[in-house]
Amino acid sequence: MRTNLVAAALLSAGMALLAVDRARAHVVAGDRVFPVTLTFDDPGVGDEVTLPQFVYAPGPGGQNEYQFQWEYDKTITPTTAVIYNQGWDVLQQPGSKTRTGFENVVLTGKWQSITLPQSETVVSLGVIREFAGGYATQGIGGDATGATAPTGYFGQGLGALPIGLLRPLAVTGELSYIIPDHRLNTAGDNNGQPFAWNGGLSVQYSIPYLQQNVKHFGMPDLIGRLIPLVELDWFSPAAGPAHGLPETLTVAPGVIYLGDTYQVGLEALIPGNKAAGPHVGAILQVHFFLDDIFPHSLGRPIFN
Amino acid sequence: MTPIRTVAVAAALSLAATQAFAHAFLKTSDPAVGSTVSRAPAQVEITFTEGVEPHFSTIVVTNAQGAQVQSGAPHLAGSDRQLAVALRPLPPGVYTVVWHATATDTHRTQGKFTFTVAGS
Repeated sequence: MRTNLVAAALLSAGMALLAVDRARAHVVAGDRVFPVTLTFDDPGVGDEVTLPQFVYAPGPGGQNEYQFQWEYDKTITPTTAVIYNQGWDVLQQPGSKTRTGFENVVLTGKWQSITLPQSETVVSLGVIREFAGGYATQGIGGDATGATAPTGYFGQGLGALPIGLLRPLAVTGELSYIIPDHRLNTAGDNNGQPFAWNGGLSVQYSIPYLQQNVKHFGMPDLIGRLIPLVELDWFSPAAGPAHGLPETLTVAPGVIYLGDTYQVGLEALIPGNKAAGPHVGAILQVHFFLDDIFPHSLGRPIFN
Repeated sequence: MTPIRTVAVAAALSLAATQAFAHAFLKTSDPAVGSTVSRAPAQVEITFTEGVEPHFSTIVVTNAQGAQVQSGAPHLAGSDRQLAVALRPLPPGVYTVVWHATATDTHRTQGKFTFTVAGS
């Protein structure tokens, strides 16, 4: 979120960066399984790992950004977790040397504060902390200063709807208020960041839920495990100067294959406004559920 | 972690995932979820995606008035992934099945569905 030249060049593609640098987790609430969304976090906590996640973010003027990311979620108690995110990026710009570097480390502390199985409701609270990286990180667009973001999460299954074929629908969301360590000045030249809002919203249709709770259509396993969804990711400066960082919206339609111990997701990253960039990108995620793979060791909370 | 090490860990996880336990979700049932059957079934049998512990799993079947119509406790049917419960003679109507399953790795899951016994 800084305003140096590289960050300015990355602005369009950087909306994808904003969209994918935060934690992900999956959660079960009653009959509902909320899968791991790709561009923002889910409402619950779990022992999980994303390994890997690929992001392709084309920018203006032939610029291309490739991100190779990973995440580890560790439960401390059954309802609290610490989440680690990072990545390694490649930035290609015509006429310039290709830049590579690690993304800033992001740690999240999260508390799944409300779980209502009967109504398929989950609410969590968390704090996201981004740690500023070094020169190489800033070279691929990383922030020069850290930031802290109090965050709220929710998930709501619509299994109570009276129309059976609509009951597989669910919505999830996240809203963060980003508080920078170093506030951007009015001239926009002090490598600071603006106070900002960052939100995510998903609308999902779970075919597993359809076949398990509404009507079994005998679909092949490949189709019966799919969850089509649309994710929205929104960023907006909250107040004060925000040179080079306008409000952006990214729309990410795609599909998730929900396996027993893993999931694979693929989504397009479509700019929702002009500031979000000129071209469509893509995101591919492979995610493992450690609580299912190692239920008696790595997959258990430290304090159960 | 370097990208190469990351790929190696991912490959190891993939191998581990093929041998893992998991949450037990409904795979199929008889009568099928949301189905209409012409003859009253003698039992409800649910096949799960993972093995379940019958002593810590339940299947409750109720009629449209909310009265339970199952007979006895659920039991394994063939394998530890198949759980069944006997039914009393069912008149035509809509029946709701509510199940709670405890997988062999102790994960708990639940679900519900309906089936209809058609009138003669």
